[in-house]
Amino acid sequence: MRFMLSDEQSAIQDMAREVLAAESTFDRVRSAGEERQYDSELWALQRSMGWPGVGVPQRWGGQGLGLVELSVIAEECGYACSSTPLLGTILAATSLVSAASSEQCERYLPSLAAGEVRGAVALTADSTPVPDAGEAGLIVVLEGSGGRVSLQPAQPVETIDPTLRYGRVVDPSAGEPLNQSPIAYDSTLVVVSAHQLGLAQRALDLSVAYTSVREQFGVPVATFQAVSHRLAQAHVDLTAARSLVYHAAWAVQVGDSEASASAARAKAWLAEASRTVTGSAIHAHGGIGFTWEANLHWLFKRATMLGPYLGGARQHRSRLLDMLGTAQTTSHETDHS
Amino acid sequence: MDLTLSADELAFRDDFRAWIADHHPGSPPSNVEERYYWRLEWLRELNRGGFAAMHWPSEYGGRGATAMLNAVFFTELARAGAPIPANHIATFMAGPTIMQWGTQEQKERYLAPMLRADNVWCQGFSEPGAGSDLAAVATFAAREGDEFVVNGQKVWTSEAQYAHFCLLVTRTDRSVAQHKGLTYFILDMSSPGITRRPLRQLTGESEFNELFFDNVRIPASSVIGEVGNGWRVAMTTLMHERSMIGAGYGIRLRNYLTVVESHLRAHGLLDDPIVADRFTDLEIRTRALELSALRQISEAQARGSVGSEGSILKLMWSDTYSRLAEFAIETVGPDALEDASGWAWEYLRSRASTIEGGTSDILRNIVADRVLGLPRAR
Repeated sequence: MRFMLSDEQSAIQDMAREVLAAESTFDRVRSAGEERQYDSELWALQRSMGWPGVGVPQRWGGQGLGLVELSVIAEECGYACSSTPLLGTILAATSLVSAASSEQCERYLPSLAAGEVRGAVALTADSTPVPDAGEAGLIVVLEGSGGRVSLQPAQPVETIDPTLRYGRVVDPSAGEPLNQSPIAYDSTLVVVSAHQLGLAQRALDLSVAYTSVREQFGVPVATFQAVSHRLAQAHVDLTAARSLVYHAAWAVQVGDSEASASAARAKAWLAEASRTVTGSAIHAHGGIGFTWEANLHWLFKRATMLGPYLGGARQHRSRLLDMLGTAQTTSHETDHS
Repeated sequence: MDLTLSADELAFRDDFRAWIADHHPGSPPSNVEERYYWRLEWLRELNRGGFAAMHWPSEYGGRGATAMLNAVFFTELARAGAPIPANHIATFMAGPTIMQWGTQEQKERYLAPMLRADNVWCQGFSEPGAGSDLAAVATFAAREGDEFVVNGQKVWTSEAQYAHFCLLVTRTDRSVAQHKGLTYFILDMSSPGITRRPLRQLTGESEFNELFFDNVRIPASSVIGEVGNGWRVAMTTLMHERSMIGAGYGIRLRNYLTVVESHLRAHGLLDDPIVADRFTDLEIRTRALELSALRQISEAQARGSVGSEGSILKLMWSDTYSRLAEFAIETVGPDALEDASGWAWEYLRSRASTIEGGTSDILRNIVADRVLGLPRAR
C-alpha cells in the first residue's frame, strides 16, 4: 500500500505549483476578478500544456491520465485561485469520458481536451450557480446516474466570485442523453473537492507566513496560542480533507467498492472545511485580512461558491447515509444498553 | 497512489483472520480488573500465535512488521470485535525504548517476558507539578554508591496496580537546565518504599494511580540510556506511544460508531434528518481518521522516520470520540444516563480523551511548532 502521490504524480504537482506561482499570481487573479474576465494568457498557457485534456484518453487528444493526476492539477489551480475556465472544462471532459458513447466522445472530447471549447457541469436538481458555465460552449447536465450533454449556452450569473464566470442552465432537457454512469458524478465530486482543498491549503499557508512575521506586543502574533491553535486546527481539518480527497480519487479511479461513498465524504467535508479554513484565514490576518488587497477574499469567495455546487455538505451526508445502509450487510448485535 | 494491500499484507491478513476466528476471546467481563486480566490473557494467546508484538524485530520475538502490516493487524482485531491486548505500555513503549537505549543485559532480561505477559509495565512520567510540562519532573534520585535513592510522587500512572516494572523519569541534577538533569530508570515495583494508591476517576473506576516513593533504592544498572539523558529517552517513549495511536484508536472509534449506528437503526432514529446528518458527519470524521492513519504510515515509511503527525491523529480521535459520546447521549434518550448504561460510561470516559496522552492544547502547540513551523511561544 502506498497512500501518497507517486514520484510521477509529485512531479506533476511540483510542475503545476511552479507554473502557477509564476503565471497565476494574486495580481493576475485580482485583475481578472476586477475586470470580470478570465486570465486569457494563463488559459492559453494551460491549453499549451495540455491541462484541459489531462484526464481525456489519448485517442481523443488528451493525456490519458487518471483521476489522481486530475485531482492534483485541480488542487493546484485552487491553490493558485487561478482565473481560467479549466475547472469547468476538465469536469465536463471527465464526465463525458465515463458517460458519453464513443460517438459522442469522438464528437466532443477532442475540442474540450484542446481547450477550444470550454465546458461546465451542472446538476439538474439544482439552481446553484455553475462555475465556468457563464461562457461555456458545452454543458453536461447530470441527473441521477445519467445526464445530458448540451451546446445551449447557460444564463450568465454575476456572483461574489468574479474570478470565474458562473451561469445557470436554461433548459436542463436540452441536448442529447448520455449513458448511465455513477462514475461521472463521483469523478466531478472528487475534482471539485480537490480544487477546494487547494483553496483552503493556500489560505492556511498564507496565514502561517503572515502571522509568523506580523508583530504585536513586540512578538510575532503566531506566538499567541489563540492564533497558533486556530491554524493548528485548520491543519488538522485539512489533514482529514487531504486523506478523504485522495482516497476518493484513488477509489473512483480503480472502481473500488467504496468509491461513491468516498467521493460523497470528500465533497461533504470540503464543502464545509474549505469555507471554514479560508474564513479562518481572514480572521487570522486581522484587519488586513478584510481588505481587498489581502487577496484572501478570492479564496474565501470561491470556497463559498463551490460549497453547494454539485450538492452541499448535507446533501452528500444524506447520500452517504443511504450508501452506508446498503453496505451494512451484517447486523452488529452488540449493544451498549 | 495505490491503496491495495501487497501480496504479503494480504497473506498475513488472511492468516490472522483465520487465527482470530479460532482464538477469539469472546465478550469482555464488565468488571474493570477482570477486564484487564482478560486482555492480558489475550496478549498471552496472541503471543502463542506469534502476534503479540508485530512491530518488534524477530530477534526479540516480533515479526519485524512494517507499520502498515501492524495497521492490518489492528484492523483485523477491530473487524473481529477482539480487544486491543493489555500491557501496551510494555509492547509499544517500554520495549522499543529498551531496544533503542538499553544495555544488552537489559534487553535480555526484560524484553521476552513482556510478550509472555509475565511482566506488566507502567509509565511513571507525570507528577502533580509536571503534567504537560514533563521537564518539570521533581521526583529526585540521589546517587549513593551503586544505587540511587528515589523520593517523590507520580500521578496518572495507568495500570500501576498490576505492574511489575515502571518506566521512571526522575531528576538527578538540579544544577543544570530542567530537561538536562533527568535520568530514566527501570523501577522494580516490588522494591520497598513504594506506595500505590488508586485514583478514583469520575467514572467511579480506577484506571490510574498515584505512586509515592519513600527512599526507594534502584541499582545503578537499572538506568536506561545514561545518567542525565532521561529527556531524550523519554521522548523516544512518547514518540512510540503516539505511533500506535493512529491504528489503535481509529479502531476504538470505528467499533463505538458501529455500536451507535446499530442502536440508531434498530430504533428508527435515523429517520430524523437532523440525527441522520449528525451521525453521518461523525462517520466521515471516523473514516478521515482511519485514512489519515494509513496515509501517515505510508509517508513515515517513505521518509524512514516517525514524525510529529501522531499528534494530529490524537487530536482527531479525541475530538471525534467526544462528539460521538455526546451525540449518543442525546439521541439514545433518558435511559442512556442510567448509572449502569454503557452509553453513560463512554460519555464520562470520553472526558479524559482530550487530556490523556498529551492534552489537545499541548498537541496543538506541537502541530503549530513542529508541523506548521510557527514561531514558538517562548
